[in-house]
Amino acid sequence: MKKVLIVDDSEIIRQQLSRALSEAGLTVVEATDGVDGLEKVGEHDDIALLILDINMPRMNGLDMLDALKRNPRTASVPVLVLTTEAQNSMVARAKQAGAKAWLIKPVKMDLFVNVVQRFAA
Amino acid sequence: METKRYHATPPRGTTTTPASQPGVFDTLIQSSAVALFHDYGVAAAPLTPAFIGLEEFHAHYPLAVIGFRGPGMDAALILSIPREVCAQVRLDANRQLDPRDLSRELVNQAMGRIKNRLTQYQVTLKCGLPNSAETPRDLDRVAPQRGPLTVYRLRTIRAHILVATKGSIDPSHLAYSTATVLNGEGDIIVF
Repeated sequence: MKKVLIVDDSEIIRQQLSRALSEAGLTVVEATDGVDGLEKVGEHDDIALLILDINMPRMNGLDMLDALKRNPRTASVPVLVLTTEAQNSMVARAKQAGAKAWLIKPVKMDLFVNVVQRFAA
Repeated sequence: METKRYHATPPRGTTTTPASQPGVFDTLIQSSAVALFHDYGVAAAPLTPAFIGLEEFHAHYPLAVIGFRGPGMDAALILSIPREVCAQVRLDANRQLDPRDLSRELVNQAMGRIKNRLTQYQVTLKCGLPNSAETPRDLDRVAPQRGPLTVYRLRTIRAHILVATKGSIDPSHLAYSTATVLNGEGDIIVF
């Protein structure tokens, strides 16, 4: 089963995504912020895809994305950004940093699962 | 690589209009909050905003609070969701929900909507992270001391949701323009 890492400081969001992805047959690992996310990436070397929030304590999603892309071991792991932020400047920065898609909360769960399955394949 | 945008709402034509008249910011807050609760399965209708003192602010604690700053603005957005309404919020989660976490996430999403809509008014906000306030004293700590408290009540079938702003908000900086391409909630932008 493909393993997906969800990085979001909201437990509600982690629960919601985790349930949808588990029901779709994916294995889910959760992290509460960018620092925790990088630790989880270090602990699991078989992560197929990351779902990343932007506004988080300790380390935000864009900084975590930069750190992932600088590391040769994680640079090719696809990253989807899921956030309340909708500004074009931030979307452009994520695209430049190597994210695969930008999803603005709240997204319909069936569409979200489709996008995850497409990029985790 | 081409970027594909899947908009939940279609982009409009290009016009620019000064929007300094009072009421624009009130409408932004009310429409953002109504749309947010609608997306989570709670029908809500806005009532007339009230400018009141903190001592008259009878909210359901814990509150969720998020600070924001921008041109002419230094304020906090406050959300109070009664327990009856929390129970109505439609979330596909398989564990028990903490009302504090729910309120923080919803105030964060409400702030995201307001911030997004303000880009059409040429205003870029910087926002903090959502906090919880357990008591009125906590609210004093996390919201600006100066500036009025404006309370927006949303009527639902069970109880009133309270959305409030505390701090200074000067709407004279708002200038509406549809030249800005607005991404909407629910949009998926594939790179």
